[in-house]
Amino acid sequence: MGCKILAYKKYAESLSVNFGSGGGFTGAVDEFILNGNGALKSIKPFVKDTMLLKTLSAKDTKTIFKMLESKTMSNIKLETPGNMTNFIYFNKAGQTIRKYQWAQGTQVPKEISDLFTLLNKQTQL
Amino acid sequence: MKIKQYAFSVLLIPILLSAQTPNKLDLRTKRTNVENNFINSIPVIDGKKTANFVSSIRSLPAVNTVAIEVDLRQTEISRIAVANTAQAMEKAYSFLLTNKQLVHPLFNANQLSVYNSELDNLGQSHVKMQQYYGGIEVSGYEIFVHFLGSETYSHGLWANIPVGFNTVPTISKEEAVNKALMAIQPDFGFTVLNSQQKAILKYSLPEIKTIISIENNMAILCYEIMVRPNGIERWIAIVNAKTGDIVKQYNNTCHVDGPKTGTGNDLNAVQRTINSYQISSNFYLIDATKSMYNASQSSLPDDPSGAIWTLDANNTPATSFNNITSTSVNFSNTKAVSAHYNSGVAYEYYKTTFNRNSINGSGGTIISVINVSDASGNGLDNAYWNGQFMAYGNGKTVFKPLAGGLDVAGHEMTHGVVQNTANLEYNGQSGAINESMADIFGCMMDRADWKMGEDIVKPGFYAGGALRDIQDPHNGGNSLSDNGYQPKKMSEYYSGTQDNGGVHINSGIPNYAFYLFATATTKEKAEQVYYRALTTYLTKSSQFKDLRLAVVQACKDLYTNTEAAAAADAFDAVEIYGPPVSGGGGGGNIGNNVADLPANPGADFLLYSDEDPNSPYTITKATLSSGTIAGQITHYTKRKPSVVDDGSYCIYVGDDNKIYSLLLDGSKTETVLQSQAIWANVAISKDGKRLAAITTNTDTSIYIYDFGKASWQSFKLYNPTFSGVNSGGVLYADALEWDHTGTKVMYDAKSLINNQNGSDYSYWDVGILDVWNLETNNWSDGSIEKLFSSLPDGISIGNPVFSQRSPYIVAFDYVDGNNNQVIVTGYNLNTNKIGTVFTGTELGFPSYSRTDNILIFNALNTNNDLVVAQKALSADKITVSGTATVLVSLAKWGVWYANGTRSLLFNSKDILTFGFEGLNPQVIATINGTNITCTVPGTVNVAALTPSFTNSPYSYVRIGGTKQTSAVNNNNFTNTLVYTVVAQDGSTKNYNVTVQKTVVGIQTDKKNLGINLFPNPAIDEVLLKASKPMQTIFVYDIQGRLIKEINANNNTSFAIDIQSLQSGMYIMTVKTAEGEALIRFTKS
Repeated sequence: MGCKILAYKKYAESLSVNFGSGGGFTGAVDEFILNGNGALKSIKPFVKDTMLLKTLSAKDTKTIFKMLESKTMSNIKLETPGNMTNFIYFNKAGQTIRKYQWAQGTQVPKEISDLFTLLNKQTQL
Repeated sequence: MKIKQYAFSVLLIPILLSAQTPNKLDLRTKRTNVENNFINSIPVIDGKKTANFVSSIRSLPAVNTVAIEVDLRQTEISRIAVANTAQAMEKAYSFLLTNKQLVHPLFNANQLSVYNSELDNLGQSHVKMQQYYGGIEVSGYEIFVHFLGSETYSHGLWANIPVGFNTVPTISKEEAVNKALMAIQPDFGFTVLNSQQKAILKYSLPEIKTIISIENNMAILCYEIMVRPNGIERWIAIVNAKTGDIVKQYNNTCHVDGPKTGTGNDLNAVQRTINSYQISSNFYLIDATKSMYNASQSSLPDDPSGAIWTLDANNTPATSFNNITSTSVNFSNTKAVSAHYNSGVAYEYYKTTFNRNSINGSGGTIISVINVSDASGNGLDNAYWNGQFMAYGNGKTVFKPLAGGLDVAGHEMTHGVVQNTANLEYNGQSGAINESMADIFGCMMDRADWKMGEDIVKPGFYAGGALRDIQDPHNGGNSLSDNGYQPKKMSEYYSGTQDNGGVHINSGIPNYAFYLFATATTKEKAEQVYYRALTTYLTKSSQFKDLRLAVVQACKDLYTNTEAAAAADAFDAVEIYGPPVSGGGGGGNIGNNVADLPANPGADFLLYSDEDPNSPYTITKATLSSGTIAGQITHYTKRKPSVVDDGSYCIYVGDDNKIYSLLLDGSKTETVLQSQAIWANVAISKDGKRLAAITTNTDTSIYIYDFGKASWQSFKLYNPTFSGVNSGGVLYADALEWDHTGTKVMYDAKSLINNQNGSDYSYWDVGILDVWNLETNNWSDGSIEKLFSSLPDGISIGNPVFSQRSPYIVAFDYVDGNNNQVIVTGYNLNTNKIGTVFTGTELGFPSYSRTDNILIFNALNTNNDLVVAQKALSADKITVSGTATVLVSLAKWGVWYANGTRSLLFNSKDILTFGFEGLNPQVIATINGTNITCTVPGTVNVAALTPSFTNSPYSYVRIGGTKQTSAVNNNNFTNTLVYTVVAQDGSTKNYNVTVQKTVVGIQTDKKNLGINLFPNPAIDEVLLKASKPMQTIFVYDIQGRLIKEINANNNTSFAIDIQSLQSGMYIMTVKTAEGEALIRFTKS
């Protein structure tokens, strides 16, 4: 059991998700990164620093990555950038394995909008 | 309640009317809702975009309703059917007499006189009656009777005037008027009206009438006197006709709802003139003063048409909206004033400079939304165009409220103009052109400087004091890590993936080209040229080189070669060069990235639905060369047949809702292909590998069957539109048409959206569904692209078909519900050009001939019989030459096909041009078979060169697994590189690219090889002599450009003609089997 937990923990730590919005008049990007260990950081526009916002619980973190790893999500392709673009990049071991990006205001699959809402909710301190 | 529908009002504007007229496209098939296990078993690729914003729209607070206080006498009586107004009047009296106890015990119907009776558009009747006593109006005492279907209601006031009430005045009218004039106190005093005012006001003297006024339950005989003391006010005085006392007086100046003008300070503390719209006592930020305003289609304040409209998002991410109101013509909301005023300026700029009528070019409402937050509800340091409106954040770290910048408004509005014209894809170079156009026209609206966002940046973030600088894209920085820095030439091009491939970064390059061009000519000329380039030449996928071609061509269209040369110089300066073949300075073809397929080599046939009542056949085949016809089947089909490209068979849905195939080889062999009785239409791919089908249900899916996989896949349809559209969206598809590659299905679909009053609006439009991926040989992602991003009011399109040879040409029915017309229309997807082929009243169901020189379609002949008509097409395949003639009488749904075989995928995979345009001077490579060679000056670093190239249409280029983009990818040419061109059909061709440097210091070789050249200098000819056989001789100019390549055929003596060379110094490289030698010579 202990080994299993440790193995999952190691696996989870290889995961991360970048998300946010960018474009518009300024072209600036509001970007965040959630690591598999629950660390949620903001990547500040213009100054480009990262800053730890908070650490999510293991349960909340697992929920988010489970959503990202679901079969439904893996079947969705979303590459429709617009003047203001929302994005979710799912990374494993430092490599982006899946990208979703869509023009703000466009209708997207429910799985994407739910995940994006959930992710953004975490950024509220 | 009304607020609740703002979002819908915003989004329904382009399509509201389209559903208000019966749509011919609706009449093609009936739909039902029947559960079917077969359909349920088909796996689904759900590209449908769900409406995640709808819930928030629906949760908006409702406005309190105000109860109308009336003296209501409401009674239900027996069912009264009211057919017309005369009957309604009679029934109204009858109703009141029958129910007089409910009005007053002494109610006297004879005192009522009908002054209005109408039957409304809901079929309800309303009768309005005024009370009179002794022929004198009892002021304000009226009774209304409403016949609402099966129920009747009445309400109003009736006064029981005592019998014997004296109706004879004591004082004269003149006395009463004098009393009135003494009593009223106009705000603007008394002035004498001039003749013009009198004419407009239709007034010359006080107007007087005798009335009975009910005051405190007392009936008083009065004079009602209307006085206009000046050109503005209108006063009413009620004078007691017995005593001369003033009963009451009031200013009855009519504050008519409508456009009003006031002022307000903007975010920059500048007082602006604000156009608003008054409704009752509220003023809304709705500018209805522009010529585009359409009062008849407006429902104010929630659904204006052709207005400039500013809304408040209430610090949401533009998911809910409120109207912005004031109780006077003046507004104190500085953000709202800025956004509203700037939108008006932007509108006027496009109107006066380019005669463009609003963002969409056809008078569509311009919507601005202030107080927009980010996705988390925090302050938004940005502004954006979301496809329907301009959204302004209030700033946070770097910016002040962004509504404060006129160039911001101009930038965002231009994104809307781009969307409605070239519709440049928001990615890579096309996206950078999109951003550049937004900056350029934003800057031209705020043209005092070349900076963008200078009014809304906070101090300290940008060295240049603005977000971007068109005059100096570096903007005070040195690299991308500096805030506000943009590249200004191609050698600084950002080739990463951030920012959608650098759309906000690389826009600095075309921005700077515009600056150079505008300063070389004038801003006035430059803006005209760029607008023409945008609206006439650029396409969705245009790259920087296309922009150069477009701008140069627009110069030639509008001005002279002088301006064209200035444009070419500007693009040269930013290292966006002309095509190699042109030698610079512009020229070349625009939009040449398309090609035509070969024509089907077979004979011409026509398949059509036989409408001849004397014919036993329903589908008939005609051999067009001989005119012979042969009936095929005798049962009806639900839609026109779909024929494979080699003409061997067709498929269709029978009247039993099953899918059939029919051999067209003369055997008339008909087979049930799919026996489920659920289908409404079907189409076979041109290569016969897949079929697309729709069911008779109100079904949002298109079902694809792949014969190779022997399986079905369901693709959900959706409308790729913008926020706030309710989830209703697509109802069902009808027409189906495969593209040439068998990977995409073009369809028409009906969409339904709820209007704010709960009624449904529907329209038809055309989408292209991606169903198959040739590279993976598997199902595709089901993404959808619309043929047009929006349609004008009252317009639907349907029955689309591809041309036979040009994958970028389509024809369709353009259904104009406003004028009850069907226009068979041609459309070039590459150039965005539209052509009218035929205008009639029947759906055309067009079909192209084998060589695309004729379009056939349904029409009515002079006897109003249905025929298949034909019209000769011009070379562009979308416009016509000549008149329509009948091809087959008593027929419909003509499908033109041929029985030859041809390749349906392009196999061309050539590199057409190759060179290094970024070198100064340009170096153009020689392409010999699959070998590409060029020589660059010895000082060039060949380890990092960016080539420009063109390749065959529908092909792409890669090195190994990395796709290559012309003028973008930088490569090491130290050794020969292999460029692989991949054709549409997947076949490949390798090109070996070798870059040599001009060699210096090889004089010893010359001696060793025994090479001599004379005379030197020379005028007409030089003679080369060598001790070794010479193989090839290359002649370069002093700048390293290859002038001549000569095969010396292993001679040891060779004469070279130099008459065509300009005077100057040249370098000759002589190749032998034992080495090379370099010789300089001078042409005199």
